[in-house]
Amino acid sequence: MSDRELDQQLVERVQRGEKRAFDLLVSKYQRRLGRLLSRFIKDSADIEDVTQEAFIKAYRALPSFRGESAFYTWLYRIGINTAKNFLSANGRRPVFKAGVEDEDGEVADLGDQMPDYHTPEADMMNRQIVETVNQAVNALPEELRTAITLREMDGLSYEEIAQVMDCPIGTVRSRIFRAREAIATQLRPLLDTAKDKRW
Amino acid sequence: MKENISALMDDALDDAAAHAAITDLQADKTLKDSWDTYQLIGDAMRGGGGLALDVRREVSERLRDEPTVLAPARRWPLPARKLRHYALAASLACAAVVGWMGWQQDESEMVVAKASEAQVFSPVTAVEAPYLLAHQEMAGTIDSSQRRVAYVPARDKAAH
Amino acid sequence: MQFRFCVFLGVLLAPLVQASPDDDWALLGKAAQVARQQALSGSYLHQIGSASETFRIQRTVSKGKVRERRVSLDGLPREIIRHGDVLITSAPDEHSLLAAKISSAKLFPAILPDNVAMLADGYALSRLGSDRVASRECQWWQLKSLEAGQRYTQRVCLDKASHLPLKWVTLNAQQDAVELFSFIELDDRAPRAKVSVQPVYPLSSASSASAVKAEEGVGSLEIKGIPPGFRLLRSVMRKMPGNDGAPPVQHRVYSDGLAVFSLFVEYAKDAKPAPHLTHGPISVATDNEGEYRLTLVGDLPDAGLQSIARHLRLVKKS
Repeated sequence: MSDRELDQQLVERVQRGEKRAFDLLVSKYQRRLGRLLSRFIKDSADIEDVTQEAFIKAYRALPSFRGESAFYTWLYRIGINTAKNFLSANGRRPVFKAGVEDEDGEVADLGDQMPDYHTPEADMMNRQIVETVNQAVNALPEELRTAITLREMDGLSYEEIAQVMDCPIGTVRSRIFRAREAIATQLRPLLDTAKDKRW
Repeated sequence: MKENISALMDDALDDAAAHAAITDLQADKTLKDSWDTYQLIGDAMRGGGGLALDVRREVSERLRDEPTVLAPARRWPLPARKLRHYALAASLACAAVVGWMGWQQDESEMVVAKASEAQVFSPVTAVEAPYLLAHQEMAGTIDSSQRRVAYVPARDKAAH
Repeated sequence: MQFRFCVFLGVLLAPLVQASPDDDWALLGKAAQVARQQALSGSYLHQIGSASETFRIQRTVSKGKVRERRVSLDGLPREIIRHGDVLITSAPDEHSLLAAKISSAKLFPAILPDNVAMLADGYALSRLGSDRVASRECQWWQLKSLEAGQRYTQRVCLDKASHLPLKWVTLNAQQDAVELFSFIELDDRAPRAKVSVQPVYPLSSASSASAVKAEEGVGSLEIKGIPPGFRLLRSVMRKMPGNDGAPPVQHRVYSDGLAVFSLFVEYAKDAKPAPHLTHGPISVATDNEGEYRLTLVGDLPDAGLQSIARHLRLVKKS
């Protein structure tokens, strides 16, 4: 089952009345959608509101989603339209910030165009997550670190990773799972604190 | 179980296993937490910022007030032939009524409901309709030998 | 409030001539059994007028004992659990509990009675066309009242392989669908995990109908004029919900196997104002018999229930 097929299966479930399947799509795409919207909207609270609104609009429009494009392409289109409506309703012009979602996970030079895109709290949280994940990855045994890196950063399939690492697919699966669990163990205390704060 | 969720994210399950994993995922909060955290880890490793954004709770709460969407079960992508399934599409205007099209052999069948009219049931109270309530308590289709037990909140019981 | 579906019938659904009616009833009997006993998991839609809800259902059967759990996926949270011969409704608060009770009135797919032979007294069974529901081929069957307009017409689409009811539609005399159940997803293998029969809500149990000892007064009355085909299912002297202080009311439940109605007999001076509320296919009728008030509530067309109310008589037991 490909990534697209997984999304399709989740979408089909929502279309059959399983609202909870939509939560899984939100969890998967919220940050990517938020980053996209940050190209148009500068205020972080507005980005959150528009992200929310875009998901609700997507949910309402799901009966007409026919799978001709990938779910995220369709979702992004809804996100962009929602952002445009938001900006015109508020009499604002979009700010185009092509370089915002920089590759290293750090906040790029934001410049004058976006003074409050990252609030200090969100900024710090972002940095803490990246640091915690990086430290946890670096602390992994080498075979786990290689497996999770090939998967998450290089996007290799289990078959490809098995070839690179010269081990059975079942081993790849197990290593990636163990890597994720090890990283998650380091990350959870931070997330629990964040949940309490609700930044 | 969690390993299946990890494999599901990586498209490494066959259709049946993926189907089962998604069902488990929706039913089990621990698994859902793992799904959320694994997704965050992936985003963090790939870089790109915006990791602090979290609208899961807000969207979930707002969805509670949304009518359930129901759409045709369909192959993906949509086959050229007309759908035979019925569908409940929450967008077509058939004010205050639900249209139901049944038993057709060759044409598509569609249930339509106006989005604003689609509701969930709201029970009446004992004060509003004691007879209706009494009837519904006693008139289930289960065999007459069935013993019925209704659960009421402990605090309410204590109050009586 | 009048709930109505508008029904579009694209093709004429003339019942097909059947060679052996006995075989048809036997098949319906099989469907009734499968509907109660078949292990399954899936979700289904329940629609009354413009209100619709979905439920997830899981059922296993071990040594003849059913473990079944259905959970509402939207609307008020609630669950309905069958464990052998016990039916449990569970919800986080009283308002939701009312919804749970309403949802437990018809436990789709188990809507046919255990003994389908009793339906032959009041309904004609006929076979209609084929259809597809929840990705399965099914066969439509129709149960139409022998007394035109007095009962709803029921249509059920039975899985061609297992005979499990996949879709159930209740039609009024105008062929409008007043209620609909339909699987939207179904796996008729046993669920992999054991179905839990513990309510998830931390609630304590109480009897739903507080039956009290029969006493002189309305309890000593005999009811005459119940239409043929209907049998008495239950009879209790009870307190009415929400009115513990009032004298007990005689509550009798009659069924012809599909239609179920309650008859309440009480002193007219104690009776509440005649209720006007209807809920989907459920109608209400009242009639005064001397010093007593009769209130009927049931899933029959309004005309059918009014007609029953008019023909009832009360006779003092000697």
